[in-house]
Amino acid sequence: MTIELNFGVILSEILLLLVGCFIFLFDRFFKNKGYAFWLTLLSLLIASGLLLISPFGGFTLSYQNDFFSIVFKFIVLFGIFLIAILSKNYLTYHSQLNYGEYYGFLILSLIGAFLMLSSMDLITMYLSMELMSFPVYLLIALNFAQQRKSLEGSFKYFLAGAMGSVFLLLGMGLVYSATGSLFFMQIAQSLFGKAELTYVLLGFLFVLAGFSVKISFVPFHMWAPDAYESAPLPITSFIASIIKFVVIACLIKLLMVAFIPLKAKIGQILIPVVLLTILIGNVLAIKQDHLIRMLAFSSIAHAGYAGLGLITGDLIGYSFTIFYLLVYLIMTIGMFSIAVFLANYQKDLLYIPKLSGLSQISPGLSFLTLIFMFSLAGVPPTAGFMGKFYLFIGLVKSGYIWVAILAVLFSVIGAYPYLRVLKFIYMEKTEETFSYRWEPGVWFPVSITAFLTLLIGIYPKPWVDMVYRTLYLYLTFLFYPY
Amino acid sequence: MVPFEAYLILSLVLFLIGLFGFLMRRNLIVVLVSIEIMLNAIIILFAALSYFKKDITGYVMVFFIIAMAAAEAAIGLTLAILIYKKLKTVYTEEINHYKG
Repeated sequence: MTIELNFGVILSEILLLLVGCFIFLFDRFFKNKGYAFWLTLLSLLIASGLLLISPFGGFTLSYQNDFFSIVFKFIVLFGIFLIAILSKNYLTYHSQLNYGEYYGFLILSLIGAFLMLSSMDLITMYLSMELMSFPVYLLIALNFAQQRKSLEGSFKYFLAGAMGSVFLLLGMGLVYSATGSLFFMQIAQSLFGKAELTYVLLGFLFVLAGFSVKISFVPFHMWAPDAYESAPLPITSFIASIIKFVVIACLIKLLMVAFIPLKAKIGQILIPVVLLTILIGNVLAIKQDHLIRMLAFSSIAHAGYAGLGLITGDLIGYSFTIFYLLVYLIMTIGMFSIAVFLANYQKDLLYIPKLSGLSQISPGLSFLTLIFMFSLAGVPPTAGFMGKFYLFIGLVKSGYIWVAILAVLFSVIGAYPYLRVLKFIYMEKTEETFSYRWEPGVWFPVSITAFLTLLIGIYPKPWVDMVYRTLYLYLTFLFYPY
Repeated sequence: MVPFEAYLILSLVLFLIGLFGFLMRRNLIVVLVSIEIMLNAIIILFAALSYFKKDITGYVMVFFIIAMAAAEAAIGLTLAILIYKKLKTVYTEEINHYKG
């Protein structure tokens, strides 16, 4: 086995690292803090260009550029592009946060996400997961300038994340003791050989516990609402969409490449976890009056829906999971950009009863909220419905009919909180009036995500095919190179 | 020569002490110390595994864990100091603006 130091494959990470270091080193010398946004936007565009030209291959044994990592890095870049635009708008109205470090932390977290998507080694995976989450703790804590109690949410998230990483390390120790290696391919080889499966299963359960903290599966979900409420709104959408996307994609990579013989057993173990996640997320969302807290509980429930695809343990289920997360990324960024618009106008508007009569004041905004809420609830002509539909069909086809029925019942409960928001917007009266103006910082993400939500809802096939073929080609090239 | 089981038991005991402290203690600094104790237990586990397997991966892992523990302590202490400055307390039961 030769070790290649092929710097061509990590060009985009190097660029983002340089930009992040530049922002941290020279932020003091810029009086006008708007530079950081344009620098971030430019570096994101150049990074997407570099991803296009970077060849497939490995940088040492623990980093690999392939179909999986490139396609999902593009999705992550798309999401963070919208979040950066949203942040610019949010920060102009909340100038206590307007420092270059905000974007610097965002870029550092993005590097962690990139490394995690292309890691081929448990050590790299662990380090990049920490790199992805450390800046987020600090970004949440930055919000204390407006809201002192946000420190509490940040500290809770930090403690949960630290506990999760301890469990992850313990699981890695067990896997290492049973298989004698930490590389994905060698773990798979020794699992097909003579390694004791029970030890590896125990180790993988600990690894799964470490991941569950980040995806907020049920026994580890209590940090989520507090951290979501205390974070600045664009960062909330970052935690909800991109971190979940990356962590579940990496979990799927672990299941597909490293722990192949355990796939079916892990699926069996996940059934109660996933169902409880959906149930608890949906039930607790019912009585929340704060819009962000409601979205936090709904994000727990959506992580559960995405977990439904992991149960069957085949390629189709995995691709449906990633498709659902893609849909969730799009619609949650759209919903949070509307929340940013409301919070920019008046902080109170984030309380759901205060939204009453919004449709008289601004019909366009109400209609966009309607699209996103229908999509989150899973009403037909939207993307959220198609994502749920594919997941349930996948479950029914592979024989888990009772799981599918329970999930459908729980999602009926889950429709209530979204429809309650719509009831306040459309069926209540108000005397208040406010003059709002559309700004490109909100208008651009909202219109793109609303368009994509409707497009995927009407014609989902190319997107599902894209995800499925990505996974298929990835596995083909990994196990039968040329 | 000390057998492998001795290292395993030491690591397990340290981990349980850390877990107990993490769940039971009410002082933020002690909670951070408990996390460090758990990480040290895992370091012992990896070093022992690596020594008895005659394999280098565990030692590499040990150094990475030390570095990550330092980073984690830095961030945790930053947050603890901020909490002490802004909320005037370091006890977890007094930090209760959010109810679950």
